[in-house]
Amino acid sequence: MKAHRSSLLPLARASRLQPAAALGVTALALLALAPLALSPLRIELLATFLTFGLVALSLDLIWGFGGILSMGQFAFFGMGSYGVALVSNELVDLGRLALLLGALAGIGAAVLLAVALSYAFFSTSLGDLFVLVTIALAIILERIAVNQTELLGGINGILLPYWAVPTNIDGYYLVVLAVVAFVFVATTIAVRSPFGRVLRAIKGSEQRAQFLGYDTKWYKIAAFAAAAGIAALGGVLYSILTGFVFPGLVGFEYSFDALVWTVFGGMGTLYGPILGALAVNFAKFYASDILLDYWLLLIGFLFIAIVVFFPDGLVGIGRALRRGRLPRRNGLGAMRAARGFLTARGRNF
Amino acid sequence: MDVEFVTRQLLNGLSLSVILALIALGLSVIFGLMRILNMAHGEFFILGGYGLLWVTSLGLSFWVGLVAAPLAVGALGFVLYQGLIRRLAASFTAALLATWGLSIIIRQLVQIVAGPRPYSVDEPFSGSISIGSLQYPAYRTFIIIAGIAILAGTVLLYYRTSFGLQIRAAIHNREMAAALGINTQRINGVSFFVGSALAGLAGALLSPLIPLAPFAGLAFLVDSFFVILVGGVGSVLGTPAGGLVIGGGESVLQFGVSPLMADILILLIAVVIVSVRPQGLFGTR
Repeated sequence: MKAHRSSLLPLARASRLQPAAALGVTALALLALAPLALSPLRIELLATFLTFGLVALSLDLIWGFGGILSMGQFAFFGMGSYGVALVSNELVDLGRLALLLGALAGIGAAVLLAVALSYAFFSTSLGDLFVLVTIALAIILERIAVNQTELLGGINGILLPYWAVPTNIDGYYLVVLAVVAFVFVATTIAVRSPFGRVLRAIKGSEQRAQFLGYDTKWYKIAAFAAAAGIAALGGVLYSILTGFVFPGLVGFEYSFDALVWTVFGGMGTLYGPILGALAVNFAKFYASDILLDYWLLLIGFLFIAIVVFFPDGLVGIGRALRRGRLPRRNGLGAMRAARGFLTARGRNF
Repeated sequence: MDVEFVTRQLLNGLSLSVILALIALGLSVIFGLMRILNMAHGEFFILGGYGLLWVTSLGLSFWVGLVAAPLAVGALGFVLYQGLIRRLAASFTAALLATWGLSIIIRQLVQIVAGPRPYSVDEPFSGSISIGSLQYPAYRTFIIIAGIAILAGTVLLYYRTSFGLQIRAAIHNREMAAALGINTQRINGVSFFVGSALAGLAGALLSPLIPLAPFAGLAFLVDSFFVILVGGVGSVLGTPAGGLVIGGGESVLQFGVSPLMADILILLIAVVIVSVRPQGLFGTR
């Protein structure tokens, strides 16, 4: 039984885990030392993109492990950030405590909404079309944020009180990094737990998982709510970092970008999406000044290139390189994918 | 609230419904057939508008553009399907990401070629017709009549011809349909052509009434998502019904509440309909 289990979950095998953990700790240490080498501006960018990384990670949790695609994940990010902005402005007297209350309110609202939505729809036979519900969520919230001028500041958004924004950017960056590391470890433990195994079983075939006796709906609801909470946590960290929230944060475009980060980084790994968020956003930051309109054009081609050539993302490329050779029989992932593309393999009838 | 105002709003709602149904039809059939959510569908809509603009700027008449632009958009949809989307159709996610990539590319190309500023297209005829005491713009009336005629034609094609029967068979069970000798590849290709062309037609029809800008397609794409959610995926009869619920509801609700509240209410209605009938109003899934 034991052997059988470990073959089900090769990642959990100790022999594999230790080098991976060592690599992870090294990466974390390098990131923690980044303030020594980088300017405050870059540290601020890094912190911002790490908060985006939380959204990508949350997407990986539900999509890469549970097979639930959300194209509105930034709706929850936005709820977290608007929560902090609203409460800290309302309860100015409370000072820092207001930030905490706002964070709890934003994250709580996001989790509640996620539970309500998933409860309403996972009990129906909507299937893949749940995606449309998540798009609708982002669109509705963005419309509300744009049109509600009194409370939410409309298109101009809301500024946080000046004292809310950290003066020591390096210190705040380390806080963000610690939170991201904590979330990563917690979700990694979760996906390797029996809960995560059921989640993967649902991704493989929900019907089969039900047949084995699991009430799949509740597993999906739990995963979706947890992901919403993680995304909202990202929003909380973001709003304090930048001191400013605006309707775009809730919206559709960012939610779609999150898909790119996740796929570009590598789904089903939890760390890949964080790397993807960092890589794509840094590239965007430096390239969009030079390329202007052509930058988005490039992103469009990047989308297509990813799915055609690198379906496993950065992590997949890394794995192929680490193997150090391109096994002839199996072919490199990208080549294989490209060949499959050219011969229109798959459901081709 | 007098009768005139109510009638005007109802007619506005009807014209919006017709447009939404035209856009959503292709989206719905393509999803039903191939399980592909074509994110570039909104761009086919605006390309219809830009195509018409380009034809009229050559000095040709509006009507030439109204025919040529949808055909060109349909051809583009067919080429993109054959060249790219077909090859990724095995994976829902891959097709979704790739078509979103296409959507961005088309939008940016339009922005680079035509500029970000919105264009306006002249109405082919001005004037109004009188319905009772109401003066209603003649062009909007034309949209309603032409749109309903085309929708009716599509419904007939779908339910009363052998090709329509083949499409329905493929939507119901594509493996079985293929096993029975139906050329599902051809059906997919034709559906992409017709679906894109209908979206282009909707864009061309609506272009005199909206500011034509590279980003104008997104809002319509999203609304047509709601239309297919409400109407039922792959249901050609359900799509106009969904269009009526979304487009009509939006206009009617604007009597009593602010446009924002109308938006939210409509979406709530859609959510309720979907949670009660996940297969949509007319779907049979």
